[in-house]
This record gives sequence, C-alpha cells and structure tokens, in this order.
Amino acid sequence: MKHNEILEKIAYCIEYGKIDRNSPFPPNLKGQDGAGEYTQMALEKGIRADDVLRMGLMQGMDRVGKKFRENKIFVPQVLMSAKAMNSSMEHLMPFFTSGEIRSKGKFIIGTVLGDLHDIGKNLVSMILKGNGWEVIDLGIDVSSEKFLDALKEHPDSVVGLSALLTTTMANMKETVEKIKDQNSETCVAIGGAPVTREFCDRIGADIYSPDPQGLVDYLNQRYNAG
Amino acid sequence: MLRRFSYDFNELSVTKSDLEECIGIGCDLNSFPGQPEEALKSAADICQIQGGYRIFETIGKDYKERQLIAGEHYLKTGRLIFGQLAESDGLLVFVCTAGEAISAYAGKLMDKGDTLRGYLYDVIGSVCVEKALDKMEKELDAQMRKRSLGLTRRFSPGYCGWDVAGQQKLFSLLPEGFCGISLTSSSLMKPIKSVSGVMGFGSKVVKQERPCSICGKRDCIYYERNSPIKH
Repeated sequence: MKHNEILEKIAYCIEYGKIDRNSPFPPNLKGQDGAGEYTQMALEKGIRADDVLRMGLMQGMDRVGKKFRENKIFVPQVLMSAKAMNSSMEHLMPFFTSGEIRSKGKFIIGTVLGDLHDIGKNLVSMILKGNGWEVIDLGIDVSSEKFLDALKEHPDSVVGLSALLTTTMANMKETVEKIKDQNSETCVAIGGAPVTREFCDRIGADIYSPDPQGLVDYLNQRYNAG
Repeated sequence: MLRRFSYDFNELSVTKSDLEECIGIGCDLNSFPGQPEEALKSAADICQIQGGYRIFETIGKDYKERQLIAGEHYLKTGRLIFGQLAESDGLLVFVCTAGEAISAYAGKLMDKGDTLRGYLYDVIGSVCVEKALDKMEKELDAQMRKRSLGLTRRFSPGYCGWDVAGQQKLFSLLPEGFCGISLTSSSLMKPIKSVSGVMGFGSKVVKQERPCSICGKRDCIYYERNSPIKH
C-alpha cells in the first residue's frame, strides 16, 4: 500500500469511527483494520509521525467536523470518530513526548458558572484534539476565577467558554471581561446554542462559531496552523 | 399541599426513537446495533425516578415587577413566563429526578473510555425525567379537569428568560432536600438529571402553545421544538 493510501485509510477510519479490527462499528467495516492498525502500519512503513497526524488524523477529524456542522452525523458518530482518533493517538504519543510532533497550542475550555451542560463542550474538545490542539478541560459550572487560575498556569492558551442556557450567558460576559482585564491579548472563543455573533461582539469575545469546525478554521487561520 | 410520586422506568415506555429525537432530528441509532436496546434494558434498574410538587391554591401577582407571590415568597419568572401565568389562580411548584445513579453510571462509562454507552445512558437520564414529567402533567391535567380548571405548560428557571438563580427562590418553596434534590450555590440541581419548574392553574387557564413566537429568540434550542428535553 502506498503512503498516501495508508494516510487516506487512517482519515477514512476516523471519519467513519472505525477504531480497530475488533470494533463492530460501523457495521459495514466489521472485521477490517481500523485507525489503530493503519497508524501502526504507517509508522512501520516510515511515514513521519507529523505527516500521520496532519494528513491522516487531522484530515479525518476535519471531515467529521464538517459533517457534524451539516447535520449529516450526530453526537454518537462523533464519539466513535473521537475513539478512532484516540486509537491512532496512542501510537503517536511517543512522538509528542520526544518533541517530534508539537501541538498547535493549548486550549482551556469549560462550561460557565451555573450551567451543567457539557455535551457541546466535550465535542469541541474532541474535535480540537483531533486537530492537533492540547485541550485543558475545566469541566462544567466553572467560575471566572477558575478560568483565570488556569490561564495563569497556561498563559498563552486560547480560552473557550460554553453555555447552553440563555440565562447563564451573563456569566459568560463576566468571565470574558475578567480574562480581557487580565490580558487583553488572550483569545476568547464562545459557543453554545443561545450564543450569537452579535452577543460575541457585544461582550468583547474574539470568536463565536455555531459549530466546532468553525472554531477550528478560525484558530488555524489566526495561528497560521492549518 | 405537598405530594410525592415515583415511577418505574418501564411505565414511562422510553424507546429508541425517544433517544434519537433527543439526540437530534435525523439521528439514526440503527448503526449501533444492540447498544440502545441494551442501555434501555439496564437503565430500568439504574434510574430512580421520583418527584413531587407543592400546590398553592391561590397566588398573588405583582404586575409592576412581574412577580408571582406564592405564600410569603416572590417569584420573578421574567416577562414571558409571567405573561403565560397571568390567568392562573394557583401555582404548582414541582421537581423530578432520575436519581444520582444514572449520571454516575454514565460518567463511569465515559471515564473508562466507553463514551458512546456513557452518552446513551446520559441521554436516557434526560429523556426519562422529561417523560416522567409528561406523565405527571397528564395526571394533573385530569385532576384539574375534574375541578373544571385548566393547567398551563411547565416552565423552568434557566429557560424562557427566567434566571437560573430563580432556582433558589423556587426551592425555598419546598422542604429541604425534597425528593432527594438539592441545589448548589450556583443554582445547579443535584442529582444532575433533575428538572424543576412551575405550572399555573385556574378556571380561565387554557394550555398555550410554546411561547416561542412571543419570545423571539430564534436561536434558542427549544425554538418551536415539541420536545423540551435538556441534556
């Protein structure tokens, strides 16, 4: 199998959530190799780990993000894709440790104070990881202070705030203000069902995207990390 | 007057279609053969569905501040909900939970990396609370009809402009730890799979459609959606 064919297999397995040979999902790929086996094959064939990440994993997750945006797939399929991606990542971990692969940057994420909804936040986390970002997940019901503490620990990070309730959007505003007061250069992304671009502009956040892929596109452009 | 209820998971008839509807219109779980069925089967032993409500036979209204007055307590539900409850003579304050175990189990699966199964149990928790409340509402509708009274829709803090901090006021109308549900300082309910809210009732009350057309928040996830499930 040619190098580009192996990389395409990895991307395909991630796109369709094929974890490994033992995984029964998706039913039409039952018994076939998955992302894990193809990643191992790629490395054994001498493909650079960085190429496996960018041309295999990231390609696959990019397709997942786009399909999710277009309502062609739903949360369960994204979860399976993320698992397939993790299966590949296990093989790539030593290359992150050695420094051969570098993450695009750090992304601190959390659902704002008063809000316990985490499915959207988790999807953003998975898609960002699949696109080469290191994600620091603070969980749900996160106070402004907790975001600020995380920023002190990881000063160059991008911060992502999620809210599902219209009524907790006020807490989003407060958190953005406090982050910008501390360092106006910190990039703050906001998202969640009730959030709008107009609200984003009003509270001084840098980016609003209605879907994870929009955020990935923005970050790739802003940090020239595509 | 205070009442409590508990339902067996099986009497709520939660189906795979209910899960698909909750996940998103167009979602098809058939590509995960057996998984939703297995989760629904074992959720029956995990969910501990209970709830209760307090009935205020009469309430006052502060039209200037748009507040409902239940006993000695003021509920600032916001313009939209106040309008929906304007014809009500009385108020019913309710809570319902699927229990701690379903979220704990979902979390445990997710922590183990079994994210899809974890997610399915999480969705089941959300769906069964809403279906329990649908059943409660249906039973209350019948009771109210016998008294020639109408019942409004359910309204919850955090939605339709009612500040989530309104939970504190709402819970102050109920005994502490009622039905095993408590509030955090940031007004989140524990167990997580819980819903609280109010319904109005009265001789002039007619159940209205969801007030989306008045609200105008076109980007709201519940905009003109029939199912009010939150997860």
